[in-house]
Amino acid sequence: MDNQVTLQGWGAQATADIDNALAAYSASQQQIATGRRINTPGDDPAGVVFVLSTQGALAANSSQFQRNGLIHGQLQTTDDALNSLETIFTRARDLAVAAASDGVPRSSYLTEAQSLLQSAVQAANQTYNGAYLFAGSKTTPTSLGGASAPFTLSGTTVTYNGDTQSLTRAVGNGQQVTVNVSGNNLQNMFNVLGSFVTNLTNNDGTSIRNSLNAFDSALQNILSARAQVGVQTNLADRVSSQLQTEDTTLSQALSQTRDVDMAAAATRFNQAGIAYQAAIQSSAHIFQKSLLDYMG
Amino acid sequence: MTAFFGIMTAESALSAQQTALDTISHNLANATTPGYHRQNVVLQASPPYTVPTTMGPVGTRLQEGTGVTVGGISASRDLWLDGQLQSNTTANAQATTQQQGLNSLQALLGEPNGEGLSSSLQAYWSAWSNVAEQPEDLGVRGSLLRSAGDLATQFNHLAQGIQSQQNDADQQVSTMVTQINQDTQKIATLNAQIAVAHGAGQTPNDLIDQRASTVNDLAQYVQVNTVSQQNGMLNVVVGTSLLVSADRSNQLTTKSNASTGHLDVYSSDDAVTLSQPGGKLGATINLRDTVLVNTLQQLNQIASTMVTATNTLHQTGFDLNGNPGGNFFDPTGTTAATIKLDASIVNNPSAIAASKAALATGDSTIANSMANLGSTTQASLGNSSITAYYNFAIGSVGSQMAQAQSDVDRTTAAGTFLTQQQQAVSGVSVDDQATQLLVHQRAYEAAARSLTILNGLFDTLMNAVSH
Repeated sequence: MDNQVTLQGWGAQATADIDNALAAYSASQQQIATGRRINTPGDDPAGVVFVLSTQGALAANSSQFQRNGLIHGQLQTTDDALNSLETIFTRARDLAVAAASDGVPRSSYLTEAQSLLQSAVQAANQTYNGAYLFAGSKTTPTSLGGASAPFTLSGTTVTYNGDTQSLTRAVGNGQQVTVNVSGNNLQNMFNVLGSFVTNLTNNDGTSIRNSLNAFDSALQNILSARAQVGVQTNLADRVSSQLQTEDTTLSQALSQTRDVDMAAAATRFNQAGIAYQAAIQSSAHIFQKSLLDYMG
Repeated sequence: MTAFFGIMTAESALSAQQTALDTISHNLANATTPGYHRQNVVLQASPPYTVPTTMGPVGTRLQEGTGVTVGGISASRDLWLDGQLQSNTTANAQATTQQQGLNSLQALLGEPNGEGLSSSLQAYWSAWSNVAEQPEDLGVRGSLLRSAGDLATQFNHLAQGIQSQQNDADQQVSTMVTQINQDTQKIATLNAQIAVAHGAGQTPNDLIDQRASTVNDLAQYVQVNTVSQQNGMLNVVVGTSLLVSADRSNQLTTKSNASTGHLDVYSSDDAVTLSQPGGKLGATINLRDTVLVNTLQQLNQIASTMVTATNTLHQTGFDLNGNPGGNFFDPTGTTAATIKLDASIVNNPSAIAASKAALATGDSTIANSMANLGSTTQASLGNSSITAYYNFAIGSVGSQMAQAQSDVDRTTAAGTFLTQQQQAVSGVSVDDQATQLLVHQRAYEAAARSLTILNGLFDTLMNAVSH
């Protein structure tokens, strides 16, 4: 009497069928609820390594993108300050041209020239988020070794207290930009401006005439510094837009590995639901009748 | 030959059919008893009488049947199938325990859903990048210290979680040893009872079923080998340790291991440690001593590398006040459980050494290198980076989980199949038994009818001679 069908054998099969159907049902439900195919490392061990490294790359990318906003701001502020200096210095050159002619009252230009010198020092001592823009690496008061600012004015002499270091910042994708214009690039301008005030004070027309070329070359220094800032801003902006493109690409790759195809998942969920209901319904009917019911 | 002879024959049939009906009733009563093996009454024709006869040639002898006897009650056992079921029970229990343990570990690690160490690490590297962008800003430096503190706390939390799972495993080991001892005691007791019945020439089917059922229960906890003895007893061996020897159970004991601090399981009989006993106990010990230990070691390796590499780099830099960098992490805490920020820096953001030269406060060469430390290869991590090493560790837990899951699925399916097979041979089919019930009922009725007829014959004879 082998190969009989028994209550326990049937029960074991029915239980296993229901368990399997319920497990599939619950798994597809979890996928839909989380939207993810990989919820734990065991769901896809190779996939999870990719998910972790891609999530890391995305987080680093987004953090870099935010920093690039600050870097852009710093370069913009530097350019604004250089623009102020250019305006100040252009005005000073106009005064110098006027004061170069004999027979003009040079002393009438003195007050404005002194004021321009002070404004230029102020502009050169500007900060961005608390850091000096034109001090090389000496960006904080402490680092200036006792000086009150990167540029200090004593009489008509402007002293630069910073250093010549370029400050580089990572902008992502292995690229670096130089975010500062070191103050020594402005030294020439302050020398010319200081001498102009001295020459006005001394009513020295010859020296003023002789300094006009120096004015031109100092102005050229500022213009080339602005051009350099422009190049660095473009580089930072270009990398930022690369980061945005990469963000899209990485997000898509992450989604393809980690997330469920909703349409397929919904179909699987429905199928699993039907299979589960069929399993419990058919199991409920298994043991309703036996031969004993017909014996009497 | 007497007139009563046929009555005796009919009576033997009534008695044998009654035994068969009783056994069917016993089978039906145990139709859902786990481990029960269907019993069958073995009916045999009883030895014939040889009688002389007047029919045929002189000297002819006839062999005349004397009815039926019960030759025995056998159980439908397929020892091979029973053995397959038992070893599948062990494999399934082992895989399930392994899967449950790995599930807890996965939940603790919290990957890849943003609750794990990878998020803390990422936040930490980004915080260094932020300092590299604005090295003078105390607020940004303060954020770095908070991220670093969070990272250290996350390491500590993982180490504590793993230790707590190891302690849970110890409790489970202790509970399982109690269960195993109860099972082996029960088997030893049943062995004694079976031997008594065996000595009296009986086959105690129900006791044997109970014992097999107990062995199967034991097989969940450990991988069991059984050796049948001549007297019907069953010896039980786990690894090299004899846990049941005839009517004696050798109880297991646990002892705390001085170096690991965890419970070792000893067989009291030969003082041998059960290191790979299989089953739930084997899986629990494996989780505690291998899976969790490996993961903790990997975390320790990352923590130790973080502390050493960070401090070495930090000491090449200069802080916001122009002082040389000190320790960033406390150099005495080089494990996941003990990693923490150095006391000199924990409340002192200006002590973060971001610059490569004294008072070059706008320089962030060191901070930038720190931000890249996660993707820099490290000799202490087998020339892997911290990020890659950690991701690999998570992938490895995932692989073990996937393996355990597939083992569970495989052994569960095999268990269902084997149960079906075993039930087909040994189980109780209600319909089959009902059919047998009808057959033996009819046979009983036939015997009763023949008894009535024989009685009628006797009446006829008595009436004939009484006149």
